[in-house]
Amino acid sequence: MQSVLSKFKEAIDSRNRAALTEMLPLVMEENDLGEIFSHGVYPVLNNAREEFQNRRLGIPELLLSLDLVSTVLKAVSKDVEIPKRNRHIVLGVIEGDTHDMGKNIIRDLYRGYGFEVTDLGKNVRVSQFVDAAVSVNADIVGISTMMSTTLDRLGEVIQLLKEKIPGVKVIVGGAFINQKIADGLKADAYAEDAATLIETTDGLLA
Amino acid sequence: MKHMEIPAETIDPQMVLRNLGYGNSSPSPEVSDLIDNSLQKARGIRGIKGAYTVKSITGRSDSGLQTEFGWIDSPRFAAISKDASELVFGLVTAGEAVDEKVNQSANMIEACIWDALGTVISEQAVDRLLTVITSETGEELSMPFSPGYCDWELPGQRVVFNALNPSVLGVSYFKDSFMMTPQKSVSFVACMGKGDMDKNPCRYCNMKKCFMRRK
Repeated sequence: MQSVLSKFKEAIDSRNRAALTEMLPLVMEENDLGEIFSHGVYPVLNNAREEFQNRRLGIPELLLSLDLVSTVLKAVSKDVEIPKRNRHIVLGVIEGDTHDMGKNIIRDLYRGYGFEVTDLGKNVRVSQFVDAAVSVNADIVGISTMMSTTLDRLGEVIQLLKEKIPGVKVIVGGAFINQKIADGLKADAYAEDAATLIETTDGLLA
Repeated sequence: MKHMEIPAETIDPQMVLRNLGYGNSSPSPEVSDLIDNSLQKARGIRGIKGAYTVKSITGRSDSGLQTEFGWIDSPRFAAISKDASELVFGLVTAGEAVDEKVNQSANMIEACIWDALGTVISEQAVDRLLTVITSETGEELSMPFSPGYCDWELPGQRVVFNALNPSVLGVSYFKDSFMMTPQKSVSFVACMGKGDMDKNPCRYCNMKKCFMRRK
């Protein structure tokens, strides 16, 4: 007979909100939070990211999965401390660019995996990145751009962050960025897409 | 300056799907319904507009082009313009309705779909405008080249806006960031000339994996 956790997992996997709502109280009754996340939520999210990477799923399906995970997070956090990673990420789109859809997806993904996120929005000045990262003692700063002409400012913010917060890691991503450009900017990592971001982030924080 | 309304009825659903990350796969039935519903609404949108003007090149060097509206500071655009007789300045906008749809979306999924629709509407509007220009002038055009892309910095927006009268289209740009509003707007310059002229600025760029690279 299929376990409650397995049915719960299936509900997220099939992005079935009604089934998830039905299974949520049952799974919370029978499992501790560690089990719910490590055997239920994260395997399904990992699978969704892999499917997205292989272009078998589109962005909307990935967002639907994240939305369901957000529902789970809200439900469980009413009563107990949810399993946070105790890592703080500051995110924003660099000044000179207002394309923020990709950054918003990354934000939801990070939150889905239990990271604390400070979202600075779009067209963010260099000083705003640095001030926010200092203020929350960020572990990681993620900077996004879709425009090739913002690269100088990206280099500037990375240099300033490294000066002000020794040990902070900077991830850059966006349409024009690749590993070579990220290396040239002295970023710690290049986020190729939403599919590989969590592994890249975990690698930096290890 | 010539300006025109551009119909939205021809939005290509396949382009929308590609923008949403689908390769050879199809959306799930739930998402498919959402996309179809938004597509239907998008096809009823009015206010998609385009404008262009043809102007002379008043000076040139390896680093850019001089026009009466300002200096186009781009070695790559200068490289493809060597055989151009004139320049076309163009602007299209998907209009405020698309920005409103993105901003008023109930959730990220809806916002994402409308963002993709806005991108496709503006990209198709550029293609439509280029076709109209070619037909009206009888000349060939290079691929469009926009401020903020390749080696042309965003302040180049001033040159395009000086050459046009963007208020007719309801488009303006922020003086500090040079980003346009409505957001789904595309400003560009293109070379005009005879059929054998150079048309692709990407030939002069070494970024082989650039997502904007054109063949």
